[in-house]
Amino acid sequence: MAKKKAESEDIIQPLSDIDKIIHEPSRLMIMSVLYVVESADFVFLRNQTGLTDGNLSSHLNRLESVGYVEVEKKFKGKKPQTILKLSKEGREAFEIYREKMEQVLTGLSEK
Amino acid sequence: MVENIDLKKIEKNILKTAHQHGAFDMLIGFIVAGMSFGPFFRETLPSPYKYFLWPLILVIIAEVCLITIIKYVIQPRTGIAKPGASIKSMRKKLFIVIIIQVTIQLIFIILLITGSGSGIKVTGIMFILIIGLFIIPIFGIIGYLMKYPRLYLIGLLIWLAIFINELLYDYIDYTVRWLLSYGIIGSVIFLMGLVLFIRFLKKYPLPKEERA
Repeated sequence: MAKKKAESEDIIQPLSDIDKIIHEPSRLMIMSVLYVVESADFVFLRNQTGLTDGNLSSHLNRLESVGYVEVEKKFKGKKPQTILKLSKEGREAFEIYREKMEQVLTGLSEK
Repeated sequence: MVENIDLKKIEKNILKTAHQHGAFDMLIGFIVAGMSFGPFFRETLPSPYKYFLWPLILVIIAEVCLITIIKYVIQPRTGIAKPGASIKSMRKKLFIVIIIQVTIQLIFIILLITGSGSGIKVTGIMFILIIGLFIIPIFGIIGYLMKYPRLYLIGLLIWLAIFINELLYDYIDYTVRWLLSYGIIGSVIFLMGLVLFIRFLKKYPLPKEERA
């Protein structure tokens, strides 16, 4: 009984320290897109994620506040342009998140 | 949730957005259709320039149009992204394929200019097969690397244009023959691209000012 409990704790334990900032579906989409590119502008990210302007903005603010995303605002001609990229911490956090989720899901599917 | 995060799929999707607008198809169609006017230039230009000057002019016009369309029509709608490491490595492979293609073409041009190739006569079905073996794999490789499956069809259509041109060799005057083969096939490729381009413009209207 105790052994079984320990086994299930081994599988589920990583879930407790999963990064909740990244785990939110919209932010996960944003992080995934930014992970495969070096940098992207706001319009590109909006098209890729399918999020509305407001939604994307608020999630980006959240990601920027924890230091996962770097935001650079500039002008292209007369139009404002926002360039976004994953910071080093953001990239590392995303990799850790993927590893942990993979660990949990592999454990669940095997049991 | 995480089983749905397939980074390869996201990458593939990003690559697809780079050519979903149909502008590449339109410009390939423009070059192929433009080739049909080649015979008119052949009568006015001296040899060997008559063989490659017109295609070169077409490629330059197409390149200028493509850069302009991408910069002023497509990028404001799709946004801009700098490629990541694996897209960069794909581009390197693509670059190598294009270098091989350009080298082969240069060899042909040098053979034409120096007259060294005049002794080699490849005609009829052999000519069509050799051209097919050259064109279809090149388009296939580029299409595969760029996740651009329409290029397989485009490669096949270009080969079909050459096939029709050879097929009508003994029956129709060469100016009309080029119009019938390259003209029609090029227009088909162009129209295919135009349909995609109109759909793209409807799907991605110009965005209002960004809020981030």
